Amino acid sequence: MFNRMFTIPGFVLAVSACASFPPPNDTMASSLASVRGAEELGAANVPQAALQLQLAQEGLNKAKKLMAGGDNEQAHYMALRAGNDAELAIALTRENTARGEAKSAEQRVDDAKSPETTP
Amino acid sequence: MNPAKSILLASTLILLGACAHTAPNELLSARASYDRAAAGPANQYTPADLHIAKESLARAEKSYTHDGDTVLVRDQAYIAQRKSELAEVLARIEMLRKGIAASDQQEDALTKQDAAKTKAELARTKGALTAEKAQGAATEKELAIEKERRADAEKRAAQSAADLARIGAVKQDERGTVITLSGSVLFASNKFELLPAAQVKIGQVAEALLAGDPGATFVVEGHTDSQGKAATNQTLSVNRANSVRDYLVGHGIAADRITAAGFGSDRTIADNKSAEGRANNRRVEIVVKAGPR
Repeated sequence: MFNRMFTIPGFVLAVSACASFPPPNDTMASSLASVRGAEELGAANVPQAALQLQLAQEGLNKAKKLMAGGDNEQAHYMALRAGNDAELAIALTRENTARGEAKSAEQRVDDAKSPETTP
Repeated sequence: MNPAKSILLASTLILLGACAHTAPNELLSARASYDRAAAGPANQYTPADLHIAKESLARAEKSYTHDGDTVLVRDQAYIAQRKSELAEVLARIEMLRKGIAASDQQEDALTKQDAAKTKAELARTKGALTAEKAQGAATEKELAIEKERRADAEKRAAQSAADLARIGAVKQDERGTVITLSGSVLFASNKFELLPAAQVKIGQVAEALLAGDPGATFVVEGHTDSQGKAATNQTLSVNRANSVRDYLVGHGIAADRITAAGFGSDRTIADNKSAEGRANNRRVEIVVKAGPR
């Protein structure tokens, strides 16, 4: 009797919690878009960004599983984490590109300062 | 309450107390990341992103204060940490972009400077070429004038030689052009005054010489045959040479262009034993030395 008394309200609470947090479809979609963006930018080829991309991909998979298990709130926050990981991966990739461009620009200035003399 | 339950309760309370005072690692990392970002270039270059990180961290802190160490707090702290890191990276990107823009500007200025330098060099080269061309034209003109002058001089010399050939015997030797006038035509025996017919002839010689090379100089040489005393012949030859010289000077030949010399019978050109030979040896030679070219 004691067990039944605690089990039934617990189940009811759990069900009501699931029902109160809607499926995080928007968050999932947004995070997925960020992960795709990072992949397309080539984050996997930039050492600093590759780790963040991997974390994002793993986080997104966890979020999908949590959502499938009915844990929408956990899924929402996991998807948010994944989205932020992906955004950071994108930024790190762009930083790497900008660093290359800055180096090229400096080289051009050096070349302009001392142009090659024709023999 | 049995002792086992008491111990369990005490342990639970201790753990709860510990949890209440020790923030989760995610929150500690989030705080450190934000502090680092706020102290770095993000404060200047990406203040909006830094502000988002700050709000994100504040939400995690609020949840922690309210609920303690929960999964939600850890998630929020994790997200706040990423926001701070993102603000930092975006600030670095902005710095790099500014650096690129500055480099581009510098490169542009250097390129313009280089172009101006090249243009100036080109103008200098063009100027030098024009000057060289003008100099070349001037030289060409001078050469043409010189050529014309030489042709004119040669023409006059040829004309003069032809004129002289009509007056006396003309030949070329190492001394120059030599005009030989017979002594018997010019002077009476043992005299050095020019005969009237000779004066006409010498006058023609003067005209021919004046029409010739204006830079030429002349030497009048007097010669006798070997008859008589050598000293007398010498004196006679000098006097005769001077007579011809003076006459030529009197007819327009500049005195500084003409000299006279007597050689007596030293320089014979024919045998003194025959009358004809002696007649040929009695002579006056006018040596024409060409002027400097």
